[in-house]
Amino acid sequence: MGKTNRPKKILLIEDDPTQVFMYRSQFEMDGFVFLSAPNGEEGLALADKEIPDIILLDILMGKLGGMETLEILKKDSPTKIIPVFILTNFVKQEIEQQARQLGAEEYIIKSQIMPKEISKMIKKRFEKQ
Amino acid sequence: MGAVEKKINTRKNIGDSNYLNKNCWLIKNLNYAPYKRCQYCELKFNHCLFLHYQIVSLAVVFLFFIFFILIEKRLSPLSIITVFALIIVYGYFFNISTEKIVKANFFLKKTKNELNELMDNLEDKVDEQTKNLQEKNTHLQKLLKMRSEFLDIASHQLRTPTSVIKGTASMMIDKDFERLSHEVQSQHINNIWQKSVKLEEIINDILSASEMDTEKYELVAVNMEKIDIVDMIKKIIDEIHFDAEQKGIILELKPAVGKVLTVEGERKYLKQAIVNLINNAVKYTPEKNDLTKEKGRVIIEVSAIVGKVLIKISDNGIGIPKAELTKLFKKFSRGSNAKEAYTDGSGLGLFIVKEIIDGHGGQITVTSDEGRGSVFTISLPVSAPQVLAVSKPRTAQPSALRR
Repeated sequence: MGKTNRPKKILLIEDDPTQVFMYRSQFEMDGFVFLSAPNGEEGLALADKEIPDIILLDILMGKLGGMETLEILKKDSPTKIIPVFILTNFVKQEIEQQARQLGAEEYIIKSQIMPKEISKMIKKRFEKQ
Repeated sequence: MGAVEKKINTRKNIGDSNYLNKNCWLIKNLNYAPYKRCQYCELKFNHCLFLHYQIVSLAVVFLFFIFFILIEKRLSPLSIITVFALIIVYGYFFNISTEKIVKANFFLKKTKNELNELMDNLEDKVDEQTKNLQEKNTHLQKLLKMRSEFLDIASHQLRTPTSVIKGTASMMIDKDFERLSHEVQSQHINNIWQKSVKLEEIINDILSASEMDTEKYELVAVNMEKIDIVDMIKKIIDEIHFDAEQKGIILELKPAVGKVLTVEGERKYLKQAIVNLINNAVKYTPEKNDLTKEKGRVIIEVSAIVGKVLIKISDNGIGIPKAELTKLFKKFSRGSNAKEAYTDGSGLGLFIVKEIIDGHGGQITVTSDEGRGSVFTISLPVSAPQVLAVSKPRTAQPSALRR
């Protein structure tokens, strides 16, 4: 049923162009609309403008890191309901707990979970709705 | 401890008396009547043999006196002489014994004082050692914290290229990959290549840095040689100029100024330091400066002053925020604007540069104007500082390190 609807919009906030390129390929292949922003600031602006269906958020970034971005996303009412998956290589329990407390639904370690699996996780998340 | 000291202090000093003539033994003795405490041992009459002896000897003198009076029924000259003689003898012996007791007492007090002093010293020592231990403990805790931070960041830096290599490879295994255009496919392969190179660089950086961390980098005599700095920089530029050309920026070595342009040092490491600095300059200099609209350029100048060689590497790139200049040479320090411009520097390059230059007895300084560029200056002594006689194994290979 969900598949017949309009394609879902993914926003990836990530500063490494190589990774953006990789995820773009995978998600576009899987039929998502893919948007990306190189840092928290631009990510927030894009999220406000486009209201994506899901946000994938990196943690270690230059202008405005992932945690701060997440906090603002969850405060701001139009972006409040958008599910956020943290997508990072920063493995630290405290950070993960903090992120979940702030409202992140998943904490994905990039080097452990492959793009295809992330794509499947996102599809599953939308089937729930 | 304090209470005992008080008690000692309130006691009378040896030989003190309430009477004016304190040298008179009789007055002294009368002063220490049985109901008082002994002058010397401070025991009560019942317990003090000295006081007993005093009273007994006085009683003996008195008995002799009575004895003579009873025999002669009058106060004969003989009895008086005898009593006086006895009193003199008594006084003599009394003085001798008193002297002994006083000496013994003095010795005891001295020993007591020494013991007290020793105890105080011991306490001081214990305090000092406790303090030392506490300091060591906090130092260790700091080191442990640094170590865990090191591991956190090092593992992040290692995972970043790994995730791209693994992720892209996993996509390639998937049949969907063939649906992608040829161009996109080759870009993916190129990404794997680039990230593999990056991964190796980061591994080398981490090895070098952790090696320099455990034992301070020191020169090794066997590896020392005279190095022509200008020649070395020319060779480095030959290796790097391709990167600069690709980025569309100018990389230039100005003609050297001065006579002595050789330094003593370890070629491998000095090269590593200079390569790092030039690489950084190239990396953080865009084709066109956003602020000044100048074409990007990296200029290297070499000059000699008395006993030193100066190497100046200046660029008109993104620069470094003022607040971050001081911590620039620390491990995992990257300018906040550097993170935006380039995502996967290890943050170890400048730390390694500083360790190498310090090891050569040189200095590195940096001035920078955010948005307008940075100037790194190395000064190296022409003759090397003290060196280690034996070679120690060094595991990490030098690499093109990045900040």
